[in-house]
Parts: sequence; structure tokens; C-alpha cells
Amino acid sequence: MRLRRVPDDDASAGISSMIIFIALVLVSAVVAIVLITFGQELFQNSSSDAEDTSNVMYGKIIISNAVITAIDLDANENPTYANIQITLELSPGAPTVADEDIKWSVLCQNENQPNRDRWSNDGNLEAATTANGDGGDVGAVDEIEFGVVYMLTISLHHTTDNNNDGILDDGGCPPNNLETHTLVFVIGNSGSYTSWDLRYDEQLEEGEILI
Amino acid sequence: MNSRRFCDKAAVGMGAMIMFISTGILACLILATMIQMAEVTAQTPESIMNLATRETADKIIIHEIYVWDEFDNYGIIWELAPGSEPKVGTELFWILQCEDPTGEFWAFWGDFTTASMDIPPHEFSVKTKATPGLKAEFFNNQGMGNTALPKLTNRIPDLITVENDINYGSTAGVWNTDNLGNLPWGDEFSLRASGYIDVPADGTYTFELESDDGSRLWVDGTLVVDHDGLHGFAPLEGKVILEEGRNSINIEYFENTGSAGLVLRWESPDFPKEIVPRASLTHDDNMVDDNNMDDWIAVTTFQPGVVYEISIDQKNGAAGRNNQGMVIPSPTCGPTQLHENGLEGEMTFVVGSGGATWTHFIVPHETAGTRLV
Repeated sequence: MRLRRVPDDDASAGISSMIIFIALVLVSAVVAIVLITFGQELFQNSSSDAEDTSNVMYGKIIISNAVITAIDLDANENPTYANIQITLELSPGAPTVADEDIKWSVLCQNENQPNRDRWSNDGNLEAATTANGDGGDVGAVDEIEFGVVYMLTISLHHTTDNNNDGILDDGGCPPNNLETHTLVFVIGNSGSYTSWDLRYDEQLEEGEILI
Repeated sequence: MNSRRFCDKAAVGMGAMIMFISTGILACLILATMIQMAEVTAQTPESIMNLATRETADKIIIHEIYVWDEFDNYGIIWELAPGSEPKVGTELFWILQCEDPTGEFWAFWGDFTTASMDIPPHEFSVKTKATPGLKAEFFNNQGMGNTALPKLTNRIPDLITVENDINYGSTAGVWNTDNLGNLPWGDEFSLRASGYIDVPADGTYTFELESDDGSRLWVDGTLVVDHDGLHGFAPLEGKVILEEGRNSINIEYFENTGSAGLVLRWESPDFPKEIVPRASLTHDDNMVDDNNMDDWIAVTTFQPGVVYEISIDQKNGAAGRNNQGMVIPSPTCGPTQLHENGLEGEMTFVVGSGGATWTHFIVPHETAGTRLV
């Protein structure tokens, strides 16, 4: 007796389903690989972008306020001494820095031209305090870290004795009416520099905001 | 009957095949669309970044332009934009332009090598003169009746001077200062002395404050001696580990009534106890003379992320020329010329194979150090 082979429709359908399933899996794998590759590129680009941004942001000082808290005027109403309280913080991404490694300097014009020294008052952040303090306590904080607001009181005054009478009456950068002086912060010796204008108007008084 | 059943199965098979092919085509279309979208998604930020990089990298960021000297030079504090490749001085150029009072246009230019500068290009830093002695600020406390160190942060000192050392022996009279003569008060006053102490070698140092009344000493930001309160002339010691070189030093003192005295001494395993000498004490006094080349290390290759200072010099700037190619006198665009004639200047900074940055400025004062930008 000759056996007749009868096509099994259920088996054909099963094989077809398997083929479609495998095809879909392959397609999914290819799509996943393509997407992962592009994702990697995107991450790499972001990473390199972030590194560049980090170079810009590293070690910058953000000043939110600078106000005159005390000022002394001479007989002609010209300032001879001023305390300026500065509210500041480190820029995002900046590492923690020892307070003595952040230096500030106020630069102004040398009134005794043509001597080319730039006149300045200088210091570091050793006296900085947190926002609860007055910015004048050497032992208050040892490190300046991102995310904390600090206060620093700087004194601007003459630095040299012009006529050998023991009184500092020349040089330095006490405020001068209608002048703009430069407040500079430098972390370490170089490389990260932030500068701000200290704008003085005609009649300076306590409570006046300079930035 | 069998034939009909066979036809139905063929139709189902054909239908399934058509469905399969349709699904395949649809899947291909979806895949192609997704790949295209992914490509666009990846390329858009990349192209934006490329555009942004082209706009920002290989350019010069100007932090400050100031009067270097009133005659012809300008000081520039600048850095290469992030993403820039390091550049040598011959790849960077400056152009200074202005009009003279007659309306004639002038231009000066040069590169970032020492030949085009007043002094060699160098890294910017806050450098000050280390003048001998400590800055001494005296405060009048008359009527305050202090029993402990008063807060001085927001007070204006009544006298500011420089003291060679801290050596005021106990006296019922008034102190005699090194440079101011006698203090106007024998009682109820404060002193705040600050500056730097030069430490000869790494090691542990012992500091002593002998005072009447209270005093405190900080070295390198550390409270080393806390001798506060009302008391007679008595010493108190403290130890601190210091590194060789300049360390900050801060002293606060107050006198209520009676005798007054304050002496600062130090000792180390290398030397016996002594009054801290003037030679070891300094304080800041204005920025270092820019003419003193020894203070600066010349830079020939400029890196992004580092701030530099240059002094562009019209005299050395490849000779100033105007549009007609005439050699012109160098200070035409100098601070004095611009200030006295109320003229504007313009500076352009060019990175070879990169971008340009320009700014214009006026000169409100021609004195050295005046900030222009």
C-alpha cells in the first residue's frame, strides 16, 4: 500500500510563525545595536562638552552682593578707608579649596604715573565665614566648598607711607568717587580668575551696594 | 468537495504570505524610519556642538583691558576659549585701531611674542610687593570697658601704620610705635596686626604671646595662642606645624586699663626663643612692578584654561601703519591721546586658523591701572 503524504497545515503555520518571530528578533537586535551606538556617541559628545564646560566653571567665584559696611571720609569727603562685605560662593563643579588658597585683590589706577605699579589691596579668604558670620573671623572656616554661601569683609585703604610720617596715605585702593575698581579672585597661583567691577558713585555711604 | 477544501487552504496560505510580506515591508519601513530618526537625533547635537565649538573654541576671551602706561601700552588679561588647541605666540595676533582727531584711521598690530610686548607674556597672578613689617591697625576703645577682645571686623581703624615687629614691653604709659611715635591712648585701645611670616624650614614652631590684657594669634589660619581676657603681663605659648615659606599671621590685642604690653616671640628646634624679627615679617603693598621682568616667567605656548597677562606695545607692534601704509608715530592710539581727545579705540584679537574677538573702549583716565574693559 502506498502511503500518501498529507501536508500538515498546522506544522506549516508553526514554522511560518517561527520564521517571523526570528526575523522580528533579528530586526530588533539590529535596531537595538544601532540605537546603542548612537546613544554612545551622544554620551561621548556630552562628556566632552561637560569637560569643556568644567574648564570654564572650575574655580570661579560667584558674588551675589558687595556692600559698604563702614567708610571713613577725609575733610574733603574723599574716602580713605572702607570695609566691604562680600557675599560669595564657589561656582558649581568647583572642588573644595583651602581658604588661604583663594586670593582677592582690588585693583585700581596708579595715581602717581608714570610709575607702572598697579595699586591694590590684597588678601585671602582666611577670614571668611558662613552666611551667619560677618566675614571677619580667621578661624571660622578652613575650606571653601561648593554649595555654601560665605561672607568676607575686605578692607580697602592706603598701603604706603608717602612722606615717612608713619601714616599710610598713598597707594592701595580705598574707594574713589565716580571710579570703577576691579575686584579679582584667583584660586591658586593662576588659571582661574574671576573679576568684578566695584562701581563707586558720587557720594559713598554705608549700606551702598557696589555689585 | 476535496477540491474546494484545497482551494481554501491555498487561499489561506496566499493570504498568510501576503500578510508576511506586508509585515516585512512595514517592518523595513519602520526600521528605516527609526534609523533615520536616530541618525538625525545623533547628528543634531553633534552639528550644534560643532557649530558651537567653531563659535567658541580657538578664540580669545578678554577678562580685562587696562592702561599699562599712559604713553602707548595696554595691559590685557585673557585666556584661550575652552576647547581651543594650545597656541604659540606666533599664532595669536592683536590689532589696535583708532582715529586721530583729524579723522585719520590708524592701526597697530603684532603677535603674542615678547617682540610685540612691553614685557614677556606671562601667567596672571595676584603678585604683591612683600614690604617688611606687619600692617598695624589701632582702634580707639575709649569708654567701651572691654573685658575681652572686641569685634573689629566692621570698624574703621583710627591709625594705620607698619610696625617692624611686635615688641611693646609692659608700660603704664603709652606705647611708642616704630613709625607713628607715641600712641594717643595708654588705655582702652585695640591692635590688629596682619601680614606674613617667612618660615625658614618645614617643622613645628612654638609661638609665644606675652600680653596685658588679652590677645590672640593665628598663623596660617590656625589659632595658635588664645590669651584673651583681662590679665596682667603674662606669656602663653602654642605650637603649630608650618611649611617653609610665607605663612599668614594675624594678631588681635586689647588693653582695658592699667599697664599695657604685647610681645610676639617664636622658637624652633633650629633656633632659640626670640622676638619675631622684622626680617621675617612682611605685608602686601600694591601689585608688583610690571617692569620688573624677574617677577614674571615668560610664556611662549598658551594653554586653554590658564589666564595670561600681556602688555601690547604700539612701538614694537610690527610698526604702526595707517591705510596708506605710512609709518606713524607709535603713541597715536595710546591712552593719553585717546583720553585727551575723547576718542574711542578698538582692539581685535585673532587666533590663526581660529576666530576673532573684538572690543572697543574709551579711556576715562590715562593713568596706569585704569580699567577700560
